[in-house]
Amino acid sequence: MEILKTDILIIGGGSAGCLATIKAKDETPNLDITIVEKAHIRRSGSLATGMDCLNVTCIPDSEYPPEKYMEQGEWVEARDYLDEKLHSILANKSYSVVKDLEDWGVKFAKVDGRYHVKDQFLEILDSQDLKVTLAAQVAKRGVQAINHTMITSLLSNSQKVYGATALNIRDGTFSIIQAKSIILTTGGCSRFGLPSSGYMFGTFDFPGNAGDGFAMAYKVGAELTNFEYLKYHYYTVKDLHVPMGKFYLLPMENRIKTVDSEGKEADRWARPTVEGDQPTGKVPLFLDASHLKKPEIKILENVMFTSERKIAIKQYLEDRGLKLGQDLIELKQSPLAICGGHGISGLVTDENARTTVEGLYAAGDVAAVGIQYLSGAFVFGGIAGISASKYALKNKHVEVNKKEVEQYKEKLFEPYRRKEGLLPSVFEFKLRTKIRDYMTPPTNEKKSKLALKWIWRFRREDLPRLVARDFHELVRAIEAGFILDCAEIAAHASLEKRIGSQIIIKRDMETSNMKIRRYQLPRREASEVEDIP
Amino acid sequence: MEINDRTIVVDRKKCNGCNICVEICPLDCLRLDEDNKAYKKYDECWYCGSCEIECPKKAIKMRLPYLIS
Repeated sequence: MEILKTDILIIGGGSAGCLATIKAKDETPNLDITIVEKAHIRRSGSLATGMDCLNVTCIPDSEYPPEKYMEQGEWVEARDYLDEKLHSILANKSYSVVKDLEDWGVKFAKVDGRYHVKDQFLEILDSQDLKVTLAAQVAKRGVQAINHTMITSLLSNSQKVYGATALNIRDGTFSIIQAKSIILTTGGCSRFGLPSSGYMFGTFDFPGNAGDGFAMAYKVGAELTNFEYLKYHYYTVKDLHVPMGKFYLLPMENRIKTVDSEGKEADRWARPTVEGDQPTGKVPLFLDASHLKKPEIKILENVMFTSERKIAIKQYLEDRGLKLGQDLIELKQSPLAICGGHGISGLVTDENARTTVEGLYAAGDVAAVGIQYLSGAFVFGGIAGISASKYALKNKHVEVNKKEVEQYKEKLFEPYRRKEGLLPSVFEFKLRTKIRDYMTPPTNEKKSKLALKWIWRFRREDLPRLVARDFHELVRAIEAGFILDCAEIAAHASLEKRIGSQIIIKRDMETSNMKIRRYQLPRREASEVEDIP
Repeated sequence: MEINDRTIVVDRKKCNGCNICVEICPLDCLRLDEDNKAYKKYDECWYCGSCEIECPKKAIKMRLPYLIS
């Protein structure tokens, strides 16, 4: 079994992973940095074909300074559940992200030479190659990404994490990567609830993210929070589920509207992040552009067909014979997901992007900074890179427990060795129907218990039967296990959810049991804590 | 019998088997067939369009999966 030794291991070559790599290398050029990507770093993660907006941009001495974000930013609606310190860092560092990106050739919307920040949003122009730009900055620093490689588990002893196991998704080569510090930038769990279309990969966030980071970090004892408040958006285009927020913000006299089935305007900004926020109006709801003037329709089309996910949006309207301005576009709730970028769930991290496990850092959608968007992935990705490199300078490698890894490997490859059984895709479809049925808010005790009953049944009856005909399918089988792990954590959190409190879950490394704690809100530090047996 | 849900349409005359789309597909959906032409092997497309954007021969048209279209 090959062992690769590196100083810092970065897991996931998306937005946060690239920034972590860049900042770690700039901080400590002499350290060896390894970035591992499940697909290919050039086009991977939610940024594959770009992103329209830096959703948290605060510019000192402008109309939208950091102080304004702290008082009125989107995060405020969930402030009791989030760490204010982290949002202060995000606000104060977001401008340096804009500057870095500009240095690398990214262009932003400006009016009269000043950044055009609309509320907290700054439009990125010509964003299609944003990911290509980041990958080039990684390469420029002499770091070569290990592509088509999935990290399947973290290695730890009682003190800290010291490595990870890796699987080549094409040829099945299994290896160990030994590292002094590790940064998780694996995104959230996008393949969670089942989309309304029934198409398993028709998700809002990038569906390659199957909760890998949540599940792997849980297994080494990291704390996870807000899994009782999962993420979905009330109004995305039905079946397509691409982000639409930008189209509502276009600077025009008239704006597009959301109307209900009776034609009445509905509140499109209803957000389900925390309990209680329900949409208004009778479903189905629609996107309505019929009141726009012709030049405004042109502006809308122009933006829609040049923006993030543009090929999909254009195809969708064509396929369904829909014309903007003439036809209503049906909206539907996006599938349930777990995400610390748009939502508030994830790994507990501090101002240095440290998780609660020694040597393990996290940034982007895997971290529960909450409603931090792409800006958060960049800011905390960078912070994680710097913190992890400082840690790596002061620490040594830990000897790998090879016997333990051998046993793990045997188990990991079981679906590939099996001659018959259950295909991962079939299993995943069933699992996600139950997640949709029993975990979509509003939840209650009965629903959460039914969810757990199914989860235990899946674990007992189905997981031991999965069969993979090639390594691509083996990857999907491992991911299905991650989705199941995430579902189990979220179902327990849901069951123990009480109004005005927050759940933190971790694995007790001595007993392997799940440890659930309930904290009274608003402040976690000084709050009353309840251990749930 | 041809089984084709038309999601990733490859112009077989234009495709030169360079393998770029296979390399960059974020969900690892694509492969080259026996004739060295790209095809969608796994029905796991996020319709991001990376393959269409990256193809140097402009041989790929991304279409939405049947359940989405």
